[in-house]
Parts: sequence; structure tokens; C-alpha cells
Amino acid sequence: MTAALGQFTQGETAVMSQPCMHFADDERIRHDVEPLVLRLGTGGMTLSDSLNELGVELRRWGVSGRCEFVSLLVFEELVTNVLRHGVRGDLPLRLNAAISPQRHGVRIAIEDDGIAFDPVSAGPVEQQDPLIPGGRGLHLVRSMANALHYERRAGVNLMTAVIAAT
Amino acid sequence: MCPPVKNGSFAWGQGELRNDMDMEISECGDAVYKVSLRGRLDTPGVDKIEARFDALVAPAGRAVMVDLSNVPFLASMGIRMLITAARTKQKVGGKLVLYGTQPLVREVFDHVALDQIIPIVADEHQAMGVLQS
Repeated sequence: MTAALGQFTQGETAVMSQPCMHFADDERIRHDVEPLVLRLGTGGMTLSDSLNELGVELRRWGVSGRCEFVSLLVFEELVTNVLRHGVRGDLPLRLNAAISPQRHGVRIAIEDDGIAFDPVSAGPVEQQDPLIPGGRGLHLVRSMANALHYERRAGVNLMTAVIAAT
Repeated sequence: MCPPVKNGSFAWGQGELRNDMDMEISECGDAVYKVSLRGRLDTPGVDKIEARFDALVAPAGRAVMVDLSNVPFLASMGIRMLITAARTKQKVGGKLVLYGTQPLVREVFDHVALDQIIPIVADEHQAMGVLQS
């Protein structure tokens, strides 16, 4: 991580302390490469471009088709959640993501300085009216990611998800 | 079985998108439109087709079957678009059915129990059966 990405390092350290990283290693994954860093906040790249870039990198890293699918899904849901609900009026938003390959899968770390929101412990989406069209993104994240961690530190949301290799 | 609609008003999307999302409409007799989606039904993909998809689904009359066999990826915005369309169709007394889902897309549908809201079947033949029942 670079200094420009603010508190990613602290956030990732917090995640590493979670007892949830016991996934099977996949030797096909290139884990010796730099994380992909995407800047999506005010003045940054579009969601469309970031999804395209992430898709290319996931294939270059050699992750499985399912890991690629779930990584893209979790990334999109977390980013769109920030873009829809995290913006404070006309204030600029800092929204950065770092995606890194590891032996056991893919780690997605997202930081934003928007409105505080914990997607991990937000209300149970499962109880909502099934006929309401929206609101399923966080449910998908929570049910398909293999590990999630959130913390709010110094006015910044730090969210990390881990997607198992298989 | 279902020839593409040649009416210009339905010739949406073909060739105008680089890679993300496209849709093709076919007529299956007088009562059914077949909508073949092609590409990633993520937020950018939904943005590209949603208005056209909604306009096709909204009118009373023809039922709609949606071919998802060429949709390799789908996120919650895609689910929202499909549920909205199904509800719109239901309000005008029509039917909408999905078929041809790829395994990972089907896994997403299973996580949100979409089949409790919209009929999901394996293939076009079964979709026609649902619409004609």
C-alpha cells in the first residue's frame, strides 16, 4: 500500500488478526504480485472501468472461475453501496480499493471517508419483503464472501473481504 | 422458432455496445417475446439496457421469457431489474419467466431465493410451458 491510501495498512492488519483465514491454498494463484489499486472516489475511475480492470487482473492472477465471479460480485456490491449511501451531500468522496491475490484466494480491501456504515452487521436483509426489488447486495456479500471485516477509524470506513480460492 | 423482431423500435443494443451488455428480442408467436440478454448484468450493464428492457416488459399483452444463457455474471442490480420487470408484468396481468441460467448466476439466484418471486426454468421449451400454463 502507498501512503496515499490512508489507513489501508491498519485495516488490513486488523483483518489479519481475524481467525478466519484457514482456507485451502491454491498454488495456481500468483500471490507474489503487487495489489491492484483502484481509485473510485471523486474524480476517480468509473465503476465500469474498475470492474473491467479487476476482471483482467483476476484472470492474470490465475484464480478459479468461481473465485473470479465472487470477487467481482463482492467488489461491485461494496463499492456501489458506498457510492449510493456514503456520499455526504456535495462533499468529495475518497474511495479506494486494493485487491490482492493470496495463496488461499483474493482479498478485497476498501476504504472510504463517507458516512459511517457497517455492511457486516447491518440489519438482516433476509427479513425484508421479497417483493421489494432492491436491497440484496449486502445479503449476497455476506453469504458469498468467506470472511468480512469492518471497522471505522478516524472518520474512515475500512472494509475487507476475503474470497476463497475454490 | 422465434424470429428476431425486425421492427426498428425493438432492434436495441445490437452493435452499439463494446462488450458489456446487449439484448435481442424475438417473437415467439403472437403472445410471447423472447429477450436474449448477452453480457455482464452488473451495474454498468443494467444501466445500458434497463430502460429498454422495462419498455419492452411494461405493456400488457405479450408474455416475456428471458434467455440468460449468455449472461456469465450478475450482481444485485441485475436482480433488481428482473424483479422490477416481473412485478411490472404481474401488474398488467402478464407473465415473465427466466431460463438458461449459468451455474454461478444460478447460485446467486439461490442465495436470494429469486425463484420464489420469478419462475426460473432450464430451457426455452420449459419457459414456453410456464407461459402457456
